[in-house]
Amino acid sequence: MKRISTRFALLLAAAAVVPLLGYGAVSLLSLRTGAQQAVIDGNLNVARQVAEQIELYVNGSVNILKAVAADLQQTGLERWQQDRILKNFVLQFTEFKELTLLDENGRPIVSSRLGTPTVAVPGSEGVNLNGTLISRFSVDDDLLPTAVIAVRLVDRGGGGWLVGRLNLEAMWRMVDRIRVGRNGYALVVTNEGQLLAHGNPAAKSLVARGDNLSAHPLVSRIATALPGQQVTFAEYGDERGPMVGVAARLPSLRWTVIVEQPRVEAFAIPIRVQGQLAIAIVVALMVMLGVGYVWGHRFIDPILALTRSTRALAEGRLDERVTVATHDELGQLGVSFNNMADRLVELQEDVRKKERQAMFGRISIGLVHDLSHPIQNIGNSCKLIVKMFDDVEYRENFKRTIERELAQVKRVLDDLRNVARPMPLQRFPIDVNKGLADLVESMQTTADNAGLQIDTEFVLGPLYIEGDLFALNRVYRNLIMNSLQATPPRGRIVVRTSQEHGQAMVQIEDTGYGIPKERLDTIFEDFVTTKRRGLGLGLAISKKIVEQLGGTITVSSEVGVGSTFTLRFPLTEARPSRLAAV
Amino acid sequence: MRLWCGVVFCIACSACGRPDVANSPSQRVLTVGFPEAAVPGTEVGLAQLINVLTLEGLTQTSLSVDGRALPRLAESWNWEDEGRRLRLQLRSGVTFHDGTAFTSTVAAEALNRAIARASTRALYPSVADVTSVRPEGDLQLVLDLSRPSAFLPEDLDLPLSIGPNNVGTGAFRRVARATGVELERFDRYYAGAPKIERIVIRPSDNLRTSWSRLLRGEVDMVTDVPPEAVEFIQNDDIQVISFARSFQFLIAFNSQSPVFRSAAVRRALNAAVNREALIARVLQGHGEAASGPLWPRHWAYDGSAQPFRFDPGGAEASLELAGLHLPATARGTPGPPARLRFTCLLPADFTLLERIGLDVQKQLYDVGVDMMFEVVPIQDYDARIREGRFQAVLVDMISGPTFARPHVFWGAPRRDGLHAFGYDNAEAARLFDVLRTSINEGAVRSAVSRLQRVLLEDPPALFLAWNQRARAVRRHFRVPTSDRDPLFTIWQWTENTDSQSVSTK
Repeated sequence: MKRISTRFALLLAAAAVVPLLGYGAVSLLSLRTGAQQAVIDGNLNVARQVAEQIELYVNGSVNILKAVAADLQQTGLERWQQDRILKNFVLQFTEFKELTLLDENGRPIVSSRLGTPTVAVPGSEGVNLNGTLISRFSVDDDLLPTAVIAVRLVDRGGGGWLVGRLNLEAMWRMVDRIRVGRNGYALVVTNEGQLLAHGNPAAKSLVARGDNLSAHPLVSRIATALPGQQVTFAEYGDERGPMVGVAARLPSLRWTVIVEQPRVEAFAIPIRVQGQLAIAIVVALMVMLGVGYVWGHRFIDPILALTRSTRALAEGRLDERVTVATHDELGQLGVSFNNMADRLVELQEDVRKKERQAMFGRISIGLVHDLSHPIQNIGNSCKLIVKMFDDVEYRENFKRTIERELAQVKRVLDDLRNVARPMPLQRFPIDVNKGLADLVESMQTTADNAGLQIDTEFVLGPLYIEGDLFALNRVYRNLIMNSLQATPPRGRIVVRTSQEHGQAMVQIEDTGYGIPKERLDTIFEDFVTTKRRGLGLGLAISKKIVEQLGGTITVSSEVGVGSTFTLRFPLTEARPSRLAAV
Repeated sequence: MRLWCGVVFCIACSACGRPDVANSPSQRVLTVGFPEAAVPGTEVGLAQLINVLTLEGLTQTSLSVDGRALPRLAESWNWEDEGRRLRLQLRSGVTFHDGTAFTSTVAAEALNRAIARASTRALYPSVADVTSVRPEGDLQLVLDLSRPSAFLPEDLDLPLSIGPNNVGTGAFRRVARATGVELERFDRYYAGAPKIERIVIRPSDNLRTSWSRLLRGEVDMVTDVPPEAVEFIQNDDIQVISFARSFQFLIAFNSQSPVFRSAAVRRALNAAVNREALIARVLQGHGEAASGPLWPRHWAYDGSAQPFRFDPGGAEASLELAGLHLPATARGTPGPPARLRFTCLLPADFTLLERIGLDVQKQLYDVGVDMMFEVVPIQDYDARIREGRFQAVLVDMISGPTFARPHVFWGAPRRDGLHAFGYDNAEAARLFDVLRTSINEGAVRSAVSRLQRVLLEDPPALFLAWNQRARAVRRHFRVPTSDRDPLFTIWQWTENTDSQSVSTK
């Protein structure tokens, strides 16, 4: 059963938390979107700055190369002078590791190299930056990145090229300096996916071995972007987990600067806020549930008190009352309940009083019935005995009458005493058959007088039980007498014994009027009788005696057919001492 | 033939590698890549690397900072007969890799065999003074000398081996493999079995390949890290260990060449070069200015001697005084106008030497000296030096930590071998001879101090910088802290349990 307090708590929680959740979801979405965009914009800004710096560096270097080319194209310079210019430039501008002047056929004329020049005019695999050819990136013998740049000497007689090996170490340094958060790095890739620089020290081997990053999610998206479409952001996963990458293009060099950062780090703030909001919602939910539970309890407590009191009244505890502290409808209900309980007490007292009065009347009538006849007989006998005192025969007759009636008075009084205080029983082994046979024989005359036949059907052999012969005789007598009284003339009474499941069974069956079904359940109660007169104590006393001896007594009856009383006693292995001695 | 390559490109080698175990790194295996291109056409470096790991001498100078010989197979030694006899107490419990016990008899045979080698006599000149090697008892060796020979204890670090397969006593021994070079630890090594079980040497075409392999986790060590690349290589997984090297960059003058006969000219050339700027620009600060051939950390070195001061004006004046005037034009010459013009030999494909040469060329040009370069293949370079067919030569040359090294190049009379520059200064020769023969520390200090000054007055070369070398080692290995080459302490390396492997994927 779902308690009202629980329902109330859930109702409150739902009413409070659903809007809270809605608010939280909207806030979270807005915050997350905004914060993520801010992070992306920040990282993109970093990438763009790096791209600008790289472009500046390369453009500056190209300008240096053009300046050198301009110097070389001055007329009248001897070869040694050209040689000196190249060497001085290389010493002065560390951006270039080598400068070599090539003729139109690509043969070196002068070079900053002391040994054999190592540069050549870049082929078609490079890029053309405003007439300056730039080769693909490579790592030189000093493990540093370089690219070859060539400027055509248009003003020089015979043409030729000034070719320089550009030191891209500065680009590495720029990229190395970029650290976004703790684990965000920058990298530079070409249009073809060649990795030029990587800020993650652990990933430098990718540069060294000339890895191609065409499969990098962001690089591939850029490569497959439609004309006019600009791809600047992507979320993807690699061996470090989910990543957030932004890209800034260097269109002139056809390079891309990527800044990538683990997603969990990049979006740490929104993730943290998300967690805090979730915690807040859970806490609010718990508080709401708690408050709802407490309020529900306060609301339901009076109802529970009324329920308890009602249950107490039903159990007969009429002194139970409800403590009513509120002045609302429930308070009024409590007051009404208490008034009802008070009225119930009064009614119960009335019933008891009437029951007592009825009982007293029934007992009085029974006593009058049971005692008036013997007393009247005794009185009559006393009067006659005075008149006919001299007649011995009469005198003896009156004496027997007086003694018999006194015995009847005594039995009535004994019954009353036994109802109040059961008689102590003396238990010893007795034969049920013998006791019953003796009793039936003693009552044969009474049966004959009433025009009734009384038969016995005893089991063969003795049936020993632990019993009190006097008390059992009283029980048998009560039952047989009841049968005699309840059976019309020419009826039959059978006293039967048997053995069943280790028990001795005694049945007194008659062909009398029978007992109505609705009265069968109460006939063993005190002062209950089916007869018009009498105290109604016989069956009640009989039942008490039987149960005192460890037996049971039941009755089956059909109106107009007859009644059967069945007694069951546990058999005993013991035998009367007299028999045992034999 | 290959002698100069060995001298120039050295006793301390490079390289690293791990071939077949690349994807299952184990701290018990050290893979050393070896960039053979560093010494094109030669195998000197590889042989030296193997010798360092497998052979030992009676003494040791490789780990010496102050130039004193350190005990190795000999625990101690003492002079007798006024320096004409050296008695060595040998270490007990030493065993050769083939199980032969290291006794005085075996040691005497091995030493005689080593002395007999021509290369030994060139690099370890004092062994020529040994007239007999006698075992005494089980663990004593007596060397009788033709004359007092003070360099002998230091020169006795020449590696000893026995048998046709050159079996040594080192911490590692070579094992036969169909391909590559592999060494295994020598479990009976007298100082305790190394923690590293195997060393695999993996040759590569060039340094770049070795570096890539290191970053990919395929090798554990790269022996030669260019100064410019140190900061790019160093990361959470790789440590770069720099150490001072008793080698120096210098431009040696051929004393037979007329242009260098004048000591004033040679002094002027030394004054014309700004060494600090050179070290900063070219060596990225990884070097120390050199003013002479003597190892400045040697115990007898006189720190009060004034080094060459950068003084281009003074240099020009000195050259003027020497009669070397700067012509107004360069008429009839292939180069710029110059008061002095000479050609310097340079080995091909050594970019660092080339950059040094370029920088020095510019500095000399500023005082009117035209230093031209002749770049030749390494084999020709070696032959030209030995034969004296050069005016000047730019060289990365061993010059310490003992004085026996500079003595070889500058103190001995010219002959076949290493005294190829023809430096001829009677006082310097006398003082070198004092160093060679004196076993008295006071006399040595005095001679060194005077020699330093003589060499400053009459410099045999344009001394540039003592250089440093850096080796990159994976942090899986704990390398003992030392100021010297970690290659010599591999047997002491242990597993670094604190290191975290860094993904390079």
